[in-house]
Amino acid sequence: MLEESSDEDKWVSLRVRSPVLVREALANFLLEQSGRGLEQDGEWITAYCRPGTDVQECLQALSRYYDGLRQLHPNLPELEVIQRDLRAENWSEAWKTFFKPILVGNAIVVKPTWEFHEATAEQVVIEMDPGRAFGTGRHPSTALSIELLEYIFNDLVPGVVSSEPSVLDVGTGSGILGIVAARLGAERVMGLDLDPEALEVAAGNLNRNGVGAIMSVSATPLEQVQETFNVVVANLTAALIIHISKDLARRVSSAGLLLLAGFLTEQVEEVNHCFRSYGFELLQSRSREDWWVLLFVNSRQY
Amino acid sequence: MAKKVIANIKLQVPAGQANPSPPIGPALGQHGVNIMEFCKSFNAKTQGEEGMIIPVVITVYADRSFTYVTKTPPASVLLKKAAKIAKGSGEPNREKVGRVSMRQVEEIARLKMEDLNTATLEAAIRTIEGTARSMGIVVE
Repeated sequence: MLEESSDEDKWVSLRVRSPVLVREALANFLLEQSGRGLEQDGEWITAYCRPGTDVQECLQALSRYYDGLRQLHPNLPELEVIQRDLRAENWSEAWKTFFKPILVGNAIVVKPTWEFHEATAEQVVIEMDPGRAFGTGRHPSTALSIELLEYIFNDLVPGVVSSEPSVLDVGTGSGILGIVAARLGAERVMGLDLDPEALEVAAGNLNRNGVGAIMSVSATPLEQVQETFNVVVANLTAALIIHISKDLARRVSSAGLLLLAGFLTEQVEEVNHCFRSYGFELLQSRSREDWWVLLFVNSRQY
Repeated sequence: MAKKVIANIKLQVPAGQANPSPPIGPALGQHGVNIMEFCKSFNAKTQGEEGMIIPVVITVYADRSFTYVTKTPPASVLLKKAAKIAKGSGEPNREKVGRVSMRQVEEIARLKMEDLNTATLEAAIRTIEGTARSMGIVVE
């Protein structure tokens, strides 16, 4: 057989139909053959032969094994294999092409750490690598929340909210909203998340963005937080926001702001109604692609 | 959170050995998942289980962030361990490579019941027995 020199970096994927009766055993056989992991997608298993593997020999072994299975399980359909060549790429880098710096709101640029962005004087650059925690600025509800944070800090904070605004970010995820608030001028930010993995990711992001002295993250349950904040942010789901609505409302200082996000058009009224009943007044609402954010002011004291 | 799921990826990966080559690279890369982030986290989490194959389900969200859960080792791996063999048979109808007891099969069935999606322990036991036979392992 003629071998091209470029075959050195050629992987071969074998996609094998695996009836449920023998799926486990077939996966085991393919794992043993390839010495690597595999992918399962419904009834198909994909195994990979590394460059230099004798694929014909692999296929023969597979065929012999499957014949054996058919002797044991006479109802098995015939073996089906889809073979595909796979050029070795720099997979650890290739996924990065999905991410470029993006402008959110008027002047917030969210950029992955590996990209260079020359910021203008008025731009605030936030460094975020997509990873294990939610919040890269690419989801409409995150983007809308960032826009409203910009509005809060640029238009409402001077004089209205506080000269030293404090922010509580409930369900901080990657930490993105708290970090934006810190970069926009919050004096103190507390980020809460119950997921330890999110906290680990968020902690890394705080340092990356130089806001470690302003923002802290912890797994403290919301109901155990005692202080009140000038701005409370929660980008969660409608059900969760309503479930913890009482605690959210309590943590907003008098005349403070509550920014809620993460729900769809049909859920807006329910959320709105819930917080109006606590004495909150709707200041602003924005939507994009069916996702909504609502900004309330705590008017209980008036 | 407003998490729209764009993909659920099921892989089996040797513990502590995740790296960006196949299957992880092509499977996760096409969805824009931070591959090194996954590998580092998976390897840290499965440290100390070297030699085991770990099934893992990765959920990818619309903003390309992800979460994952690891599951108990596949029944085939547990069967090989019980039979004290390194590999299953290449011709399970003819070549028998090991033996396990019915009690061992039952133990594995109990452990894997959740993943097997079977209604009863008996059904799970039958499934594990079938897998053993398909690997050339005799159940006695």
